[in-house]
Amino acid sequence: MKDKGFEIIAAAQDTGGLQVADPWYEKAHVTYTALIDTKHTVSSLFQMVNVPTGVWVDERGKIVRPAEVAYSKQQRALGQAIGDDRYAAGLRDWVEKGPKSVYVVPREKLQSRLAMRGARERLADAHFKLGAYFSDQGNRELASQHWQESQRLNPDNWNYHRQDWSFDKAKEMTNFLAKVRKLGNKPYYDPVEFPEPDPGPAPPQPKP
Amino acid sequence: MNTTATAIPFTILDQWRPTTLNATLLADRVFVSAEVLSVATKWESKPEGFCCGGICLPNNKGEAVVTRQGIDLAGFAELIGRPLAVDIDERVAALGVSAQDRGAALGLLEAPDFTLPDLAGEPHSMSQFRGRKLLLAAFSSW
Repeated sequence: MKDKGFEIIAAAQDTGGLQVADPWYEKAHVTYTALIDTKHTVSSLFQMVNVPTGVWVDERGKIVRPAEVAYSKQQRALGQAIGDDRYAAGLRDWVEKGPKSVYVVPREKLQSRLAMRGARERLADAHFKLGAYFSDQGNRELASQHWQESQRLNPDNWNYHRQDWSFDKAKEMTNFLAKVRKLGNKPYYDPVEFPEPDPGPAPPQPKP
Repeated sequence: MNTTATAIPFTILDQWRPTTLNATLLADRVFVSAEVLSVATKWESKPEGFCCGGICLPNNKGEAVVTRQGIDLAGFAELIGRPLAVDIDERVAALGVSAQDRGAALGLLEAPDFTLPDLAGEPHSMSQFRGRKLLLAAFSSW
């Protein structure tokens, strides 16, 4: 799809190596720019709370779909359905049709989904930045303290947890599953909001 | 109570950008000079309030923010509507994002720009990709 003026920027939100989670991107013959984002810059700027998360940006640098789970096919994990099978097709449709694509989120809806974060979320974000600063200095204990504060202030942001747990490989999965158990009925990922498929022309009404 | 305090090195993160300059600590409060504030945050302390990039916000708290010890960092942050996360023991504070700035940027649906290194350390900015459609994808190694 590169010849259609489409590119992928993949930003790894951790200090570990880059592992692109989705083979679909390779099959689509898209060259992507792989970036290392140890301080979660992209997550903070685009209000992402989990991975993999995608944002669609048009030729003029405008957001047309805000942060949402970016698996190209629906996955089943943790007893939940995650992602949407239409993601890859939706993306292709937008690359073809641009603003006419039904997958472009209308302006009003976009604005409400991009709505400002509350004071607690923004303070959580500031603590995350302090943690990233300490992590950069090699002080994991202090980093962890501030990341825990981020988690306390904004428990719905999975990236905060993920970064902290990544320090202790042995406990990573245990910590993760314990947190998932606390979810109850809340989704691990919010569902992708795609338009309902076009039902086609209405069936002819039977004559009385 | 001993209220004399000497200036010590203190780091202020403006979003991600750290600047280490002198500050005065009194209990859990951080005070900086107008000059330090300007270098670390690009906000200027003026008689009418605090100004940055042509925007001035009035200091309606007066001497509660601009004190004899200097500018109270927490009070300043509150005035400009940005969260302040402080680690007083480590002498670091982070100024987060303002609700207004984000609201203005997102009101235009503008994708915020950033610059990050690739695997070879080469920097790339989002704005370099203007003229192409982009999927910005955030991944993690687990």
